[in-house]
Amino acid sequence: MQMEKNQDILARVSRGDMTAFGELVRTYQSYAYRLAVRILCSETEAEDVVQEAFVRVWRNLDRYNPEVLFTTWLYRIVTNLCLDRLRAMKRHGVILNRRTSAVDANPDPPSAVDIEKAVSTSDLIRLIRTMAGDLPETQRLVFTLRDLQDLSIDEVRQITGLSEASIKTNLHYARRTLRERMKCEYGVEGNP
Amino acid sequence: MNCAEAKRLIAFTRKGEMGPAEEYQLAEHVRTCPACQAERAAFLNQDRAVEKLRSIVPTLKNPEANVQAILRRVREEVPPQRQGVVSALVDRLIGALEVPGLRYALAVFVTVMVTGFVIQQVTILRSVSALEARLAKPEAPRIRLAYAVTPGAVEHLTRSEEIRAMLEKAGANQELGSERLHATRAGSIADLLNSPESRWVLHTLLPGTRERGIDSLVNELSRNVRLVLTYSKGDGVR
Repeated sequence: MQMEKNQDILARVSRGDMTAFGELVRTYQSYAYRLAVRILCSETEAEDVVQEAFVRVWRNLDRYNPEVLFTTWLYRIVTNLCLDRLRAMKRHGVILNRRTSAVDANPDPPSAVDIEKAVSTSDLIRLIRTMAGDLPETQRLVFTLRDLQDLSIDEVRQITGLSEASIKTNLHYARRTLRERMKCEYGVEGNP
Repeated sequence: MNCAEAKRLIAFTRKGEMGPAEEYQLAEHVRTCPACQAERAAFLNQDRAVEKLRSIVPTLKNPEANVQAILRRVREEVPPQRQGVVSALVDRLIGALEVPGLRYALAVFVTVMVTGFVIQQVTILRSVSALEARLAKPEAPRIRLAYAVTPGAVEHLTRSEEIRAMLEKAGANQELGSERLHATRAGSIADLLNSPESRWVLHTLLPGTRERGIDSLVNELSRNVRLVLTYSKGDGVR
């Protein structure tokens, strides 16, 4: 039912129906925003990326393959935009790692945050930065898509274009790095 | 499974990351290896912590404002209705019509084309109507004309002195007066008289006459065809 509704909206959008496009944005912008925040660790940048992503959806809807989930296609656009944004930020010296106070960062981040108490987006951003901010780009991307965005390996494969083996390898190293970091900073241990 | 192999899989804590056989072998190894057991437990614990992070869902502060911002950008940056080749061509054509000279030239061109088209269609319709009318009529009986011209008739109808003189020469051959010209098709009298058969007859009637003389005779007869027909009631032509 949802699929049919989506197809109907997309067909209307492809005919240039602006009302349908507004409906499409209202339905999917939250998905795009969640992913963008988790990758960029910045609400402002994420809002901007979401806007840019939907402009690209409008421009390139004729390239959309209906056999792929619309969310998967949207995630691919958002991911590419986020990576471009991260690279640009890196070039301009804005490094989103756990030692640097970057865009939207809390000027005085706590040195030890209890994950269990984290509830807000700013908590999430601070934790992701602290835990995964300086992971290599691919590891961070795979970790975000799989563990934070809760996508399947196959969806991660479609979004990133990586092979399943490569995804698993990057996931393996990302989780190992995170484990070390969580162990020393948040006291997450093997014995609950 | 040994510890090295277990370490390769031990971080895969979530569903679908290992096959059933790998999952079973890892579980068996972890059950008997305390070091791997501790490491596996650490990863599972980490997974629970990450799950907590996953449950924090970032939300837009003002979703409708974001929608409006996107729609505004789309309206500004992208021309509407750009899907498909035809639409793109129409857009381009409309853009070209912004130039006044092109607009007037196109208007004239379209007017001429439309007028030409209408005239052509009317002509075709009239032709078709005429054809239909002709086909609707019963077939007319075929007219078969037969001419027979005797030397006497030729003598009467021509007023050319040259031909008259030639015909007088032909007087010695009156016995050939029974020779007749026959034609069974309704063609022009010129064609009729100019046929090889007719010319042979004329040569026979007028021995010694040159080709040029025969040509003149034929032309004269052709011009006086009406007289031939008129005369035919009296003598020699039926």
